[in-house]
Amino acid sequence: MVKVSTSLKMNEKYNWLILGSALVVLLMVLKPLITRVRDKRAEQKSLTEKLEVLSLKRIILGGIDEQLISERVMKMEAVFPSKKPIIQLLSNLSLVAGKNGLVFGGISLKPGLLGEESDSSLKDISFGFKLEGTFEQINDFMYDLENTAPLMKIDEVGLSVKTNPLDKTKKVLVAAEIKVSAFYQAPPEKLGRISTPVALLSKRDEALLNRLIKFETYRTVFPEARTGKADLFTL
Amino acid sequence: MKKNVNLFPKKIKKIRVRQKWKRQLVRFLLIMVLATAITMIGLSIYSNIFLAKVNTELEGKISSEKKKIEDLRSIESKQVYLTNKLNSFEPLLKVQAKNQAITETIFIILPNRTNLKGFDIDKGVLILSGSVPSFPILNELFENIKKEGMPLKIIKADVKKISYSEKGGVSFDLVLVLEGMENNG
Repeated sequence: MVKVSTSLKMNEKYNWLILGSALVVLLMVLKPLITRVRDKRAEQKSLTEKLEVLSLKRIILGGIDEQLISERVMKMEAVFPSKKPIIQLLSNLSLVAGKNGLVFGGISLKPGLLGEESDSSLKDISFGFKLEGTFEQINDFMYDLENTAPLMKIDEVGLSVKTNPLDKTKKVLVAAEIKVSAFYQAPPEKLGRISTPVALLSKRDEALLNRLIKFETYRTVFPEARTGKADLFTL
Repeated sequence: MKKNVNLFPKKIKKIRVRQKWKRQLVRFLLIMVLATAITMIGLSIYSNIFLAKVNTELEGKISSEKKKIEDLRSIESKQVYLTNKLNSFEPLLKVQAKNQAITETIFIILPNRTNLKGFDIDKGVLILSGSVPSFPILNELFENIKKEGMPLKIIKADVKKISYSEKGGVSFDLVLVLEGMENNG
């Protein structure tokens, strides 16, 4: 009787042991599987978000008029260049002066380094020049300067009358000494990650870009000079 | 001869029935655990395979989008260029417009035949030092300062000095504060 009872108890114990072991094994197998499913779901979520960002970016970029943006970039480059606008400045100023019938000269300029500008912070270049003409001509020149590319800021103005003060003729010649600053800024070197969203132009940006159209750009005239490297044997 | 004598037949029967039920319960639980385990393992494996397939498809779509964006990279670089430049361009335009307005105002108030030493625009005030050939022209300058409708309103005009030279010219030192200049310097 006692033997039977002990054997039954042992049997029962084995059963519980098997059940417990089964549960442990189940947990051991299931846990990594469930973790992997969870990881895959998180990955799916992140991939879906990434896809959404990229699709939106592709749609935005696809909607940009390539011709219009190229024209705007060219105009912006003329008005607010990426490199020191030394030649454009001198050429455009002499052309505006000529347009107003003024004598242009006496340029003082410190161009500094001529190499590539690496950082994309805002920089300026200051220089002075002299103009000679009537008061009205100089006045007109100052008006034109506001809408002449590249963008310039008047820093200093000095005027001196060239005609004898006692001479009562109508035409009074004035010499003006003007100091201006022109600005340039190198573009960013890198575009950033492919998933970086495209910054859209706001209405204010559009208004600013329309302001660019008002700026007059002149064809830069380069002085021609013989370099001495001409091929003497050509006919 | 040995003979088993059952002294508690009812009790033993009860115990046997209880033990039988216990065994059945354990067996049932074991079967349930096994069934749940198989189902859950199956579901997990299926989910893993399904999600892996979905993720592979998503990765494919992402690389396709990336390729399309790469093809539009020139437009993107132009857009980045413009947005970057516009950030600096707006304040520059404001400064340029202000300095231009100051210059235009000065040119309006200055009578013809005025000699003027250079005036610095970026200071908080405008110090105009110059000379005119006669007192009537100096008077014209002062009248012009009082005039309305200038590009920038003249808030304050302070005549610091007037001197008459033997050669006939009238020198003056004038300090002007124009609208919008108060915060400069």
